[in-house]
Amino acid sequence: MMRSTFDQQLQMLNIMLIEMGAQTETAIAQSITALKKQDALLAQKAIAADAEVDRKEKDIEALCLKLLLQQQPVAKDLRLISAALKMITDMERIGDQAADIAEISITLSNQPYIKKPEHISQMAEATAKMVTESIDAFVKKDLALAHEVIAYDDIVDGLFDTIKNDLIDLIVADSKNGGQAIDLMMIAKYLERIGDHAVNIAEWVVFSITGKHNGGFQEEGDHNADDLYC
Amino acid sequence: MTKRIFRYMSLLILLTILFFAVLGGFAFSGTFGAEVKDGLKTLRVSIINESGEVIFDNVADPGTLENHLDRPEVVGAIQNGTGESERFSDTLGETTYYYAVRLADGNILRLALTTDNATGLLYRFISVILICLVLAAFFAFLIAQRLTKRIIAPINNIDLDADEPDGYDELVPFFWKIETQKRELTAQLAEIETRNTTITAIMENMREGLLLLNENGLVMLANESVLEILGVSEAVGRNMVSVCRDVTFLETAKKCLAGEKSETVMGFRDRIYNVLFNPVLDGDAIHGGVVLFIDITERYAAEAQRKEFSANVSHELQTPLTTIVALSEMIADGTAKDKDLQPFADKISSQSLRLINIIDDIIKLSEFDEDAVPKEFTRFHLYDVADAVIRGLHEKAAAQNITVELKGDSQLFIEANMRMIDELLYNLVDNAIKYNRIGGDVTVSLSAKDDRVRIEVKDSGIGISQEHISRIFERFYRVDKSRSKKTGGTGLGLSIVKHIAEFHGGQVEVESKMGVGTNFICTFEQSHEE
Repeated sequence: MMRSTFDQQLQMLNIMLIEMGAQTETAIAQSITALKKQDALLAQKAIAADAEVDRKEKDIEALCLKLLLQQQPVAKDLRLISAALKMITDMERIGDQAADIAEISITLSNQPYIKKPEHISQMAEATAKMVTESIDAFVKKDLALAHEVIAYDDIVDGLFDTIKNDLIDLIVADSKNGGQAIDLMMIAKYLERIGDHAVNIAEWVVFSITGKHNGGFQEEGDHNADDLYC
Repeated sequence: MTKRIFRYMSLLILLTILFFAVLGGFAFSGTFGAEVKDGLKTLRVSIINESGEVIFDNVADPGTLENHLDRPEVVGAIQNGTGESERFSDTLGETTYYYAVRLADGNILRLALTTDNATGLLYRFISVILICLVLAAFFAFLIAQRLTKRIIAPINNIDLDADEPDGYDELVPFFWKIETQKRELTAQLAEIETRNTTITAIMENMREGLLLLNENGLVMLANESVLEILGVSEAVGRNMVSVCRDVTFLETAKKCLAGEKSETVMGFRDRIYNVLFNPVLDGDAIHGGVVLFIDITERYAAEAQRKEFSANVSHELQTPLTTIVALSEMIADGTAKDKDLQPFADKISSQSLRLINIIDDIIKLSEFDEDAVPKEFTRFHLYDVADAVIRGLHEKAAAQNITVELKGDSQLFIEANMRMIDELLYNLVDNAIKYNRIGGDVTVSLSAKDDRVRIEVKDSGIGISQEHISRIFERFYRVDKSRSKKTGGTGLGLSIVKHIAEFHGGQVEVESKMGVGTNFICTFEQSHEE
């Protein structure tokens, strides 16, 4: 009886994690579309979606703690719960950064872009793909997909450098471009951070499946460092 | 079966009794001899004289024994020659039997034998009895087991699938009942199978996606279409969140599982679906939900186009109408000066003409839309028709110093709707002049090959950029809005051209290069015999 309740709660945790993933996916998709289409209304929606993500994080956290205290899980179950606790932090950060992007989109919605945001769009799509696939990897317990997400981060980092150089050129060309260039730079940085969080999620997926956590990124102080733009 | 059970039970009882008896007999016969020997050994012999004194005793010292003259057996022997008696000792649980006989010398010989009483006997033989009982029980158990097997064997060997199962008569009603139920079950199974096949066939062949959820959101059923729509390889047995992570979908599905019926439009992989959520209710209890995905991509696009068209029509009609109303009001209230009247009238006339043209074109298009154009085909001289169109537009071309040239077979006869081909040529040549540069040229080429007519209208104008080419046949679509206003087009000309070509079973292709010119190639079937 006890076991079956535990199994049900674990199942519930799984479902809630996927739901939170879905919410973050939506938040990021909305903020990116808002940015591309200069749609302030959609940006507002993305900001509102962040509150939902935060609420979900609290719910999942409470459930994880309840499971840890009351059921004292071991092995695979313990890994899932501890991975869940870490994953929700990353998802919550993604939600925050999506909201941050949406906020900048609102200020950018009433001014023409200094340059068509092709690379930003490309980067946004790449990070959205990473988030979706990291959640997919969790849903399907797909180790290979999780590793793909981790590897894909290099592409996002590459795009970040391209955008940085583009913006430097624009500022050099005309200092009036400076204001918008900084806004776009912030967006690129947020996107880059989202990519890092997706990598973290993927790594926790790997941990929940194999029990091994790739700590390589921690040594470099890259992904786990506190966000600069919190 | 009753007879057999009765027979076997009787046999069992008899055999057990017999066995017990035989066993008991053997056991008792064995102990009986020993008992006799023991009896002899324990036989007490006493000789008592006439005065009752014991003069010999093989057990006790005669001197210690009391006078025996009052003993009943001694009394009997003195009086009758023999006497006997028995005395029971409670303390020892024994009975002693005495027998006395008067000897010839007048002395009395007394024999005494002590035996156990009934309880004592039972105690003595209890072990033998118990062993016999255990053996008999074991024997009875063995026989019972055997007999049970023999009773049960015919039941075990019944072949229920046989038409007439062989077995006890008492079981025949059961066979009959089983047979009837078997037939009913087979019929019901066949019916279920048929129903199942039908449902599966319907489900798998329907283009709509079907998802059946239980009350916990677990997918109970999913057809091929839904797997394709959601882009998953399997769904049954998984929670809906693992199948589709769209937030709107999940929220609506949750509402559905709470008993709320709803409908929403959602996009999945570049297609648009109308998703219907219906809770499965049994009274007030909710057992799950049915989700149906209906592809409305085309309908949605058509609707969007229709909305755009209506908006465009209103806009196109409003512009000339506003001018007409404003000018006529000025004339009516006398604010227009005499010298303005002529230009105002000209303006009103031209705007009215524009209105008529637009309405005319809309009517033509709506006729095509409703498939209301009669398929009237006549055989006519295409070259002459083209020539007439060019001549009709000569003034317009001359105004911009544009040369229009007609090439092709001057004897070309085709079978088509002449009025429509005239219109098609007019629109294409008119466009070629309107969107040309001053002093440019237009070439109209006519040819026919393998039953297909080819009309080519080539200009040396401004050209159309790639991003506009796919849209120029849309109603009211204009590449350059300000220029169109000036040239007075309705924005429906090319749309009509496309419809005319399609009406004749053909199509229109566009080749264009910015700044070089555009070439409209229209091909359709030459003969349209009904």
